[in-house]
Amino acid sequence: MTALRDRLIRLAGGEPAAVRPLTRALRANARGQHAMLRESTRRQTVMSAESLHVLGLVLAGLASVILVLVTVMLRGRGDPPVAAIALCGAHLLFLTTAVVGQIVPALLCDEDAGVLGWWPLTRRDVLLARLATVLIPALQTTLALTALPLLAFLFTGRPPVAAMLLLTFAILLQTLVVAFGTAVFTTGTARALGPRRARRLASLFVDNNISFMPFLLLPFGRTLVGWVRLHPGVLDWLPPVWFAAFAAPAAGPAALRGMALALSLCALVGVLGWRVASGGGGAPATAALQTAKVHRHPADLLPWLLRPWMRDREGWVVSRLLAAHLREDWRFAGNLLMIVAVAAVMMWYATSLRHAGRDAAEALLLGGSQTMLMLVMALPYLSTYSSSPRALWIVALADLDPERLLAAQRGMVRGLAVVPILAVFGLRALSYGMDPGYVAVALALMASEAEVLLLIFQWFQPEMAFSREFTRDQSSQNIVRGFALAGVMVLATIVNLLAITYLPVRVALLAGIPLLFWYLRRRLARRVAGGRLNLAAVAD
Amino acid sequence: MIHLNSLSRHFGQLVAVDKVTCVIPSGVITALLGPNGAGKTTTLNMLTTLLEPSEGTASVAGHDIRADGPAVRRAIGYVPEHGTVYEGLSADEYLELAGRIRGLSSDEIRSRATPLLERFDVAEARGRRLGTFSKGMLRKILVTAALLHRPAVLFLDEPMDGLDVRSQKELADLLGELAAGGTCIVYSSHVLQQVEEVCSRVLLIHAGRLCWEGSLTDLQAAHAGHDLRDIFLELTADRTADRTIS
Repeated sequence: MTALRDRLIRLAGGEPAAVRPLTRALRANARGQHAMLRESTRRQTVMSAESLHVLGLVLAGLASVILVLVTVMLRGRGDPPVAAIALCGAHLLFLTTAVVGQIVPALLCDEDAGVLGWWPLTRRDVLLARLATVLIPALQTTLALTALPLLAFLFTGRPPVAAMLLLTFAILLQTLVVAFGTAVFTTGTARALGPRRARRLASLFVDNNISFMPFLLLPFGRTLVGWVRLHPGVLDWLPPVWFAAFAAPAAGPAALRGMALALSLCALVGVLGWRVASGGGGAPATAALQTAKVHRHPADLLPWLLRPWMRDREGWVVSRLLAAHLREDWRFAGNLLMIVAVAAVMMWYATSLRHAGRDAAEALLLGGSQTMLMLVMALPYLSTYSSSPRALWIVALADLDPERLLAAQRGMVRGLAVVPILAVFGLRALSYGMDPGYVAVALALMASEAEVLLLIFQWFQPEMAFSREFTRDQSSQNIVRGFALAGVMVLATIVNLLAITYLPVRVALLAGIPLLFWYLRRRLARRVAGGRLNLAAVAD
Repeated sequence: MIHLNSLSRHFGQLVAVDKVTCVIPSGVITALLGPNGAGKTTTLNMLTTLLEPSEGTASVAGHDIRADGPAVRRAIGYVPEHGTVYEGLSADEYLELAGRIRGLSSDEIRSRATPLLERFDVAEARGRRLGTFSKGMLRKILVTAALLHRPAVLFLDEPMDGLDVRSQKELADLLGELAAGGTCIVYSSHVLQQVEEVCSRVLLIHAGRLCWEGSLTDLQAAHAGHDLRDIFLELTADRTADRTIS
């Protein structure tokens, strides 16, 4: 096995004596970093990389059962076969999410250059080691997702056995091409953009944001499906589908052409792309000196726009920090952009009459409030993090009032999320001819819920905005918080449903929430009085 | 031995290093001095193959930095000023990686690393993850990793930064022993007192250009026996040097 591995490494142009120890070290480093993260987290609410991978495998296994049902139900239907497309699409989605999150940031940031740029290693050795760390998890994901559906093709394929064999080959090929292609594309991009821009681009992919991206296609779903129906030939361009189509007797020469193209593309990625991305024996270049002047940025307008909700000295500090992070902290900006994009899609979906069904008011209230809840929980959580919290030492030394700092954070969420959502929701509801009285009550209810949830969030995490450092991969923490957020959202949705259905619940909520708000605010003020809001950690 | 031949590096219009030509001999510790932004780190980055020169070239231990980068990297050890490490690795795992990459066996790595770690008083912490190390401890590990393969040329960028007094003395003694054994050592620092104690030759760079090359005693003799600080201030007094490409 070792001899085979060494031969493969040499075939790819690497040196086994360098690639093997480096691969071992990269794996040990990933384990060590998660262990350190767990040790430094108070409640240990962090999943290890292994646990995260196992969770991914479980999800892939569950998805595979659905794919088996799809395969059996859609047997013999469509040309090219719909079940094969579903299988290949799901595989591509799972695999890309797994691979991109694991190696793209490291490659774009050229993390290894700072550690071993002057060591006797070629760029190819480093790239191969990074790939090796991801190839085994990628193959495990492939196995968990596709093993059962491929077995189903054994009986339902067209023709049965050949369809399964060809699809198995195509899926394995897709696994290798995605892994190699991602590495090749990323390295090529990093070389083309230069270190600084590549690092900024990497910040958009660090926290598994790519898994949300298919969700952003939702508004264009109908248009896309309609276009594909008009141009069915386009599916011949999806590499694994070519193989599936080849197995179908009706596919004809188009499938053969497609398969030849698929193989050519794979060869192109595997050979030419690999040579371009990993070529040149030299070490990766270090960042060039930055001599450009700093220009004004649209984010500089934010402190003025948020002024109505962030009035005092503490509000000014938090709003300037927000503007600075949007301008310079691409990881924060990328994450915020993704949250806002997802919220915009949710909002579009919730306020579109097409999806409202029979009761538009109910759909609007539920959809709007869910978007609001998501943002109200996600924004304060995200704004706790920064890539450079140590820069806050100057804030830590100032005599700022903790309660007003928290109030500024709430004001920030109000200005960024609550008010815009209420405005969109209100205008959309009125444009649908809904009763203005009903809309006003709904808006008041949503705003009150948002305020209470903000206070509850701050009760559990009373921390100064931007005072906590982003960890290497935030997704393991985000998942745990995401589960908690989902629980709160389900609870709030049930309450909202009851409020929509029963008038007394609505009245009780409207009367009770201000009281709850007053009580929580008072308790929070007492809790944080004289505290440091995590600012002591800045000097750590 | 290192030969620099019209070595230059531009960043856009800025000339960071301007046609530096000199020889750095083996068996002595050569200080690389200069004010902030003079081009010291850029020079080190080029000599360690981290950065491609814009013009000119250099040879390190007989290997051309442009044509034979891998051979240069095999011959050198480097302790960068802001050295990053894989923080999840323990010191032992990191040293194992550094040694393995250079073709050493586990036994060789252990036998070479242990005396150095003991000398720097970090042997007890070798099982700990590097992310938990202080700045000084990390520097000791970086020095150990740079010396594992007994390099012919050693580059050090502010090596004493973060070290306690005892470790500074140990490192200075160690560098003296290595130089006596024929190693070519380039020592970049802003702390002139340390330079006077450790180095016997000086390369002074100002505004990307070489201002002085020679022994420390010659430098002091040429400037009427003034101390190094006064000489440094005198040689780098011109702050209006044009550094754009003409």
